[in-house]
Order: sequence, then structure tokens, then C-alpha cells
Amino acid sequence: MAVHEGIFNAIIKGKRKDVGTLVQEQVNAGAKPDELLNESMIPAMREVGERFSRNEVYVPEMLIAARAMAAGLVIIEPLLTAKGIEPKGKVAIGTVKGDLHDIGKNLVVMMLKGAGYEVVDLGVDCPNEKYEEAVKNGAQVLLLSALLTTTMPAMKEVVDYLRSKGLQPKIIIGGAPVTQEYANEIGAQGYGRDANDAVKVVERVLAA
Amino acid sequence: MPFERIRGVTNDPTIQLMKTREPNFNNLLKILKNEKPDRPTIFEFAITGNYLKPNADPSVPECWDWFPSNPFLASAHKNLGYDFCCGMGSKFGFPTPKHEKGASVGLAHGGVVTDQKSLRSLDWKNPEDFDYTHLEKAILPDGMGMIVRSPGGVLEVLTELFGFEELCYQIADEPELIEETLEMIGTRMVKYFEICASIPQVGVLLHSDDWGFKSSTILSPSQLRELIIPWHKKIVEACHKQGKPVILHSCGKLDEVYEDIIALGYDAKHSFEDAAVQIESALERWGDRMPMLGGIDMDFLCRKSPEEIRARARKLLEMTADKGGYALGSGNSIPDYMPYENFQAMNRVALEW
Ligand code: B12
Repeated sequence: MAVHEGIFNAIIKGKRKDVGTLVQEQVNAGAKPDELLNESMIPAMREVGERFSRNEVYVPEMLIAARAMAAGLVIIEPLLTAKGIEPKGKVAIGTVKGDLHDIGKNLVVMMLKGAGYEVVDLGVDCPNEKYEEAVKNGAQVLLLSALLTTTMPAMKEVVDYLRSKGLQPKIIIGGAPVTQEYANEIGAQGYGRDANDAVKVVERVLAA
Repeated sequence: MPFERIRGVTNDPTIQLMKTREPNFNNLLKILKNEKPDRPTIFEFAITGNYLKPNADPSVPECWDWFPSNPFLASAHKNLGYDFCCGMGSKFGFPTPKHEKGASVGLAHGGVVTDQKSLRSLDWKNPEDFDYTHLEKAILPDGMGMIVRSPGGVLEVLTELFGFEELCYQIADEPELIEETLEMIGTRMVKYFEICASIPQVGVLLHSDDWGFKSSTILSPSQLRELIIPWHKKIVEACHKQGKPVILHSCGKLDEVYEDIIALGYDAKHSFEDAAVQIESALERWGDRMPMLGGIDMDFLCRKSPEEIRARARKLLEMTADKGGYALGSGNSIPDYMPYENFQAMNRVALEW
């Protein structure tokens, strides 16, 4: 099956009712849910992410596209589960201890869901134990968000804490003051500059 | 990485030096005209109480009203080397939800407006019902002036009322609701500026409205132009009508709307981040048409050594020595997590010039 232009464009334009209708139509007509997801829906969100990285679309448009994507996912997901099709991978994300910023983290969640991952959202102000639990529950990648210089050191604490418990998840960090340099310094496997980049970095560390 | 919190002030060698510096508000006024001040000038719009308290004269009774007329705050600002005291014009505020205490606040959800009914049932106050007489009666140290800042900004208040994600959906789904909310916010904000600007003792105004983040504006530039900028225009006009300059504090990567900010007529731009637009590059690109205040990146100021901070501060002052239109300061503010010695390393470059 090739890309379904109608679904692809409806997601990009954020038309959630159209996405719901079109996906349902396709499913009723016998389309394979995993093909719809992988060939039309995920590519649409990827395109939105790329445009966001190039400052051609902005956060509100990305949110609306993600909402439209979600309208399709509610139809697709039970079908995938019924067929025993697994998500691409399981990841967990949280804003670090002492930090309550959530707008950026939530965008990363949406983009990762839109890319076909199972995402556990740990919320904000996350203690080390929350990350530990997520890893023990199967998260292969941990994503940490921090917006203030004063909360950045909590990222290093998470890395050190998990290592001390003998856990080795891949760790990716991001947020306003965070840099690749800081990721290297604290021994994180990756840094993402925006929500679109986050998806690429997850793909990269999972492939490594 | 040197990351040390220095809480409170200990053995600061610069305090004495700063106590001998005479404030002169005209320096800031010259900068806001894009002219050269008589001497390097420092600027901050918010400094943590932890650093203000030990710098106020012991003879002045401790008082934490965040008004520029408050003698306690004014004394601390003077002793730190500032030519002004910055604070609120009154206790007027918007009916935004109260946040839990923490290092920062989440804004994605938790709004209080979902429809017209919830919007109208909020406890909206009017700026004219508050007391501003303390501004008229203010007795500041000789040479000092007052900067009055806003209770948030038009976009900030809108975001808080809806929650960010809900706001984005409602802009698409319910444009009339957004328009009505903006009318409720905007008319009050304009009125607040009108009142404050009309008070002779108030020298400068400041509107703080964050429009951006690390990689772009938070709403699209066209949404900003359609929804937010028209209200900013009214605010700038209200200040200019009274002959008062007005500063825009706005965080994030705003290069796509700099021309709009210049066209609005703001008298200076405040807030810069290295990850978004570096102050040095902003000065090169727009400095001839727009005075700039502060700008040394917060992460840089918190984590670099005092030597590196001094070197960058010196370069900035050298860069603007001939043209003027610049005051030295942080990219955002002085929170209590900023090491005190780094804050002072930056300011000392201007104070010892
Ligand atoms: C809005 C805002 C506020 C708001 C509310 C915060 C909120 N959003 O909930 C208010 C006004 C309350 C506020 C307050 C403060 N703020 Co503030 N704030 C911001 C601002 C303008 C935007 C933050 C935001 O919401 N961004 C929107 C989202 C979409 O962006 P984002 O979070 O960066 O996420 C993107 C990427 O970073 C990435 N990403 C995010 N997380 C992750 C995680 C991973 C794993 C990956 C891969 C990627 C990734 O993907 C996202 C999408 O592309 C930033 C400026 C900035 N550059 O971000 C300053 C900023 C964060 N604030 C700053 C400061 C200093 C403060 C205060 C200390 C000011 C003061 N003196 O009080 C206070 C602290 C909070 C407190 N004590 O309550 C500084 C921090 C500097 C520093 N290095 O420490 C900044 C950077 C501004 C500046 N000029 O320097 N702030």
C-alpha cells in the first residue's frame, strides 16, 4: 500500500475529524492498520516535525497535527494490539526533580507517539525512583527535560543513580539550557535540540 | 563543572565601591534613546530578594512590597550600582490560576478558561481600582528613577488562563473566545500602562511578555501579529503619549519578529539567550535601530568562571562604547541560583570602568 494522500494531508493540516473518518473508511475497506500507520500516518507526523525544525510550522500547528494523528490512533491501536503488532519501542520521559516545565516535554511525547513508540509520560518534578521504576517496567530509553540551569544537575543525578543501581538504559536529554556538550559531560547517550530531533535521537540510540 | 550555589552575601569587596557610585537615571534615559550614557550602566528587571536584602542600608526598614517606590528595594538597588528601582505599579493582577510552589511552573495544562461562561465568571479586577499614590509620594535616593513593570504580558496571561495546549487548540477551534479573552486582558493592560505612565515620578515602563523559546516563537509569527502585537501597539502608544519610554522584555528566539518589535516602537529590548539569539549578534543585526539591555546568557553566567564572565562583559561594553544604546546585565534576571560572585563579576566591569 502506498501513502494515503488524504490521511497524510489531513494530519499535516490538523483536521482531526477528517483523519478519523478517513482512517475508519480505510479500515472498513480492509486496509491493514500497520500499513496505514507506517506508510501514511507516521510519515505525516515526520513531515510536520521536519517543517517544525525548519521553522516552517510552529508549536500550535504541531499540536493540532498531533491531535489529528491521535484521532486516527484511537482507531488503529486496538487493531494493532489485536493483531499482536508491537510498538517500535518503549520509552519514558519526565521533567527532572525541582523543575515543573511541561510544554516542551509534552511536545516530545507527542512526536514520539506520532513516530510509533510506546511512551510513558512520568510527568514533572520526577524523583530518581520514578525513572528507575520506568526502566524496570521495560523502558529502553529514558528522556529527561530541564529548563533551568539550576535543575540541569538533576540530570546527572539520574544518570548516576541508575548506574549505581546497575541499570543501563539509553538516556537522552533536552530543554532550554541543555547542550550536546552537557550530555557528553554527564554520560548521557544523546541530546535533542527540539521535539523532532528527539525522535531522530531515539532512533539513533536504539539502533546503536 | 563549577556549579556552586552561593546563598547570601559574604565578604563582597564590591559593596563599598558601589556605595560610592552616584545614581543617575539620565544614563538609562540616554540608552533608551540609543545614545551613549555618561558612564557604563547596568540593568536588571528582577533580582532575587536574597541578594537585595544584604545590600539595603541597615537603617531602612525591611519591606517586601515589590514597588519601585519601596525605600528598602530602592536602597538595595542603589547600593548594587543601579540608577533605578524596578517594580510593580500597584497590586493589580489578572485572575490567573495559582501555581504550586516549585523551581518553575508547568503551563501546558491547568487553565481556567474553557468557554465564554468560565471566562466571564472569573474574578476580573480593574487596574483603576488600585492604589498608585505611593508612586507619586516616592522618595528615592538622589538621582534614582522608577521603572514600572507589568503584571505579566498579554500573551503570558492568555496562556495562563487557558493552559498552553488548550490555548493552541482554541485558537483553531474557537477564535471568538480567544478574541474576547484578549479584549478582557488587553484593555486592562493598556489601562494599567496609561495610569502608570501618567504619573510624573514614573520614568520608564516595562512590558514583560515571553513570545519565544529555544528554537522559535511559541505562537507562529503570523498568530503573534494577528492576536498579540495589536495590543502591544496600544501599550506602546499609551506610554509614548505621556512621553515615557517603554521596554519590552521577551524571552526566546524572536529573530522572525524583530522587525515587528522595532516597528512597534519599543524603546529597548530585554532578554537574550545564547541558544536563541546571542546578545552580540542582536546588537550587530538590530542595535542601530533598537537599544538592547542585559543579554549575558543565564547558563553562561551561572556556570562560567568570573574571569570568563568579566571578559565577555568587557567585550560587550567595548562593542557599544561609541554608539551607546546598551546597558550591561543578565540575559533574563538574577534568580537565587545565580552565584553571587558571578553576578558581581559581571557588574563590576561596568562599575569599575
Ligand atoms: C515561559 C517561560 C517561563 C514562564 C513559565 C514556564 C513554563 N513554560 O511553564 C515563567 C514566566 C513562569 C517563567 C519563570 C522563570 N523563568 Co522562564 N522561561 C520561559 C520561556 C520563555 C519558555 C519556556 C517554554 O515553555 N518553552 C516552550 C517549549 C516548547 O520549549 P522547550 O521547553 O525548550 O522544549 C523544546 C526543546 O527544548 C526540546 N525539549 C524539551 N525537553 C526535552 C527533552 C528531551 C529529552 C529532548 C530530546 C528535547 C527536549 O523540545 C521542545 C520542543 O522543540 C523560557 C525561554 C526558553 N528559551 O525556553 C524561559 C527560561 C526557561 N526561563 C528562565 C528563567 C531565568 C526563569 C526564572 C528563574 C525567572 C525569575 N528570575 O524568576 C523563573 C523560574 C521559574 C520560577 N521560579 O517559577 C531562563 C532559564 C535560564 C537558565 N539557564 O537557567 C529561560 C531560558 C529564559 C532566559 N531568557 O534565559 N519562565
